[in-house]
Amino acid sequence: MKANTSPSPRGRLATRLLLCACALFALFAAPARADEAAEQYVMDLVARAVAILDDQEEDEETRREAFRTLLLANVDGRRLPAFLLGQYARQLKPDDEQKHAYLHLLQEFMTRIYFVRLQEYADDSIKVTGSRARNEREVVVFGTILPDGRKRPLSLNWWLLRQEGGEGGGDGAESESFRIFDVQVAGIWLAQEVRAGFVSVIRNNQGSFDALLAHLRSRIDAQLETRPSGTEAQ
Amino acid sequence: MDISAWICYAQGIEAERPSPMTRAALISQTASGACRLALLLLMLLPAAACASNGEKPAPAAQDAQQGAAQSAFEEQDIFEPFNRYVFEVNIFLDDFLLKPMATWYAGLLPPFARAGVGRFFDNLKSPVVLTNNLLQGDRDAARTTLTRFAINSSIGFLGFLDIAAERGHPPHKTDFGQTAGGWGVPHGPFLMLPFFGPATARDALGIGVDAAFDPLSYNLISPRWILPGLSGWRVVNARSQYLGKLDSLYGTSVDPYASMRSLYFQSRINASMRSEELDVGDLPDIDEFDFDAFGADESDFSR
Repeated sequence: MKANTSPSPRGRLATRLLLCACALFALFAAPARADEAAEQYVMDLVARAVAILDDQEEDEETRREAFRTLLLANVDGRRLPAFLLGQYARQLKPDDEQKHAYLHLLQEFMTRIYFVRLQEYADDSIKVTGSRARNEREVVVFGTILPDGRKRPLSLNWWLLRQEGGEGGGDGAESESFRIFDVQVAGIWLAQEVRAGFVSVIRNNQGSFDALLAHLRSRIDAQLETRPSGTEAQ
Repeated sequence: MDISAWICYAQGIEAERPSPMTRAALISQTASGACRLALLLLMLLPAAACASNGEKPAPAAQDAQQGAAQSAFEEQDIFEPFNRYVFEVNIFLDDFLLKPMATWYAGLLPPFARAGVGRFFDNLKSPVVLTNNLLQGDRDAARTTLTRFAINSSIGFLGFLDIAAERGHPPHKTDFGQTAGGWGVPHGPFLMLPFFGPATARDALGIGVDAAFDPLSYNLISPRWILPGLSGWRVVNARSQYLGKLDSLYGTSVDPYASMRSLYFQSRINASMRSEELDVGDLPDIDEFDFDAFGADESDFSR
């Protein structure tokens, strides 16, 4: 006996409902998809950073300048400085001198500190393991870092923002369409923690930005006095 | 905050001491007699420690949204002036007591030996972990804890070697602060405890409860100095794994106290999460932030 292949009206209705459900699922599931362009962006960025930090042929000043260029070109310079100030960001006007001083000091602060400290981890194995888009603009790239001599990797995640007008992609030019908003190491979001310090300094000095600027200067000066050296015995 | 601080903290706890553990849990490990002084170490320990738990209790309701929870948590620092004072005292004690001892100790034992000592003390802590596994109703985790204890206490040479992990029984840690959170107990105010470091009222309670199940809390072995000695050894050994690295916490943060508070908060949020993988839906909603009012742009920053 040959099976009847033409669907019944009830079958057609069920098929249509199934297709609608699939379409709705795809619509709502879209933000949770992996983003290969973002993963490639992070892999490229890590490779470039390691190449700079691990370059034994260049002097320290040259490497630091290269690192500074790489760092500042890849963090979200529009949002991150404001985010770090929390509610106090509103008090600074676009043309405020304090704002320009803050941006300048923040660049120095980030460059000095991360250049010295990240060198200790240039040999560590970093892997990108996946990604998930939070919405059309935000992507979180998942990864791990295996510190030298350790057995168990740590989680290392990057919170990226897609730049306006950028679609992402595989080659170098398109990979510039992302910026780093925050990095999470072993469960700790660095920008959120830095913001806690900045906001606390301003709040405990009656809302004074000058106090924050003074603290930033003191930390930068402290780093200038500190030379990269072997840490104490581990 | 210096990224190396987070990495080194996590290195020490998640790799050398493979069991991801909360600072409060580590506190309770050492809650024994005169050696409690050394617990000031815990003030400095990373909250990153509890970042990657495998088996985790259900999150407390207030931990559901990180951004909102963090603000609420910081607002709960109603004793901030006093907490800051205690923080400074703890730093002083670390500088003049614990850190010199740990430095001397690190010169005696190589890193792999100190890692083994850390595992030995983790193994001793199994009753605390098991109790909380059971109180959380997590039978799988309880079974893993028991299995790990049996394997590592025997062929693992009292826990110096983590044979159980190699046989598919990964380490995990939990504490009564997490258990209470799973029951819906709120954090309560933020506290900086003398010697014990940062905690919430809930976690401070957890320290006491966990200590009740810690074998090192009961000085029943003769001669009487053995257990206090073990407690001191545990703290000095743990501190020795962060020498040098901890300095960066103070050298790079504009407000170490606020950094520590944020770090502690984030660690507790992480510890309360059910999944090891980051849930992107829990991230703060940055669209609520008015970046345009600040007026910075890319050219301002990368200039």
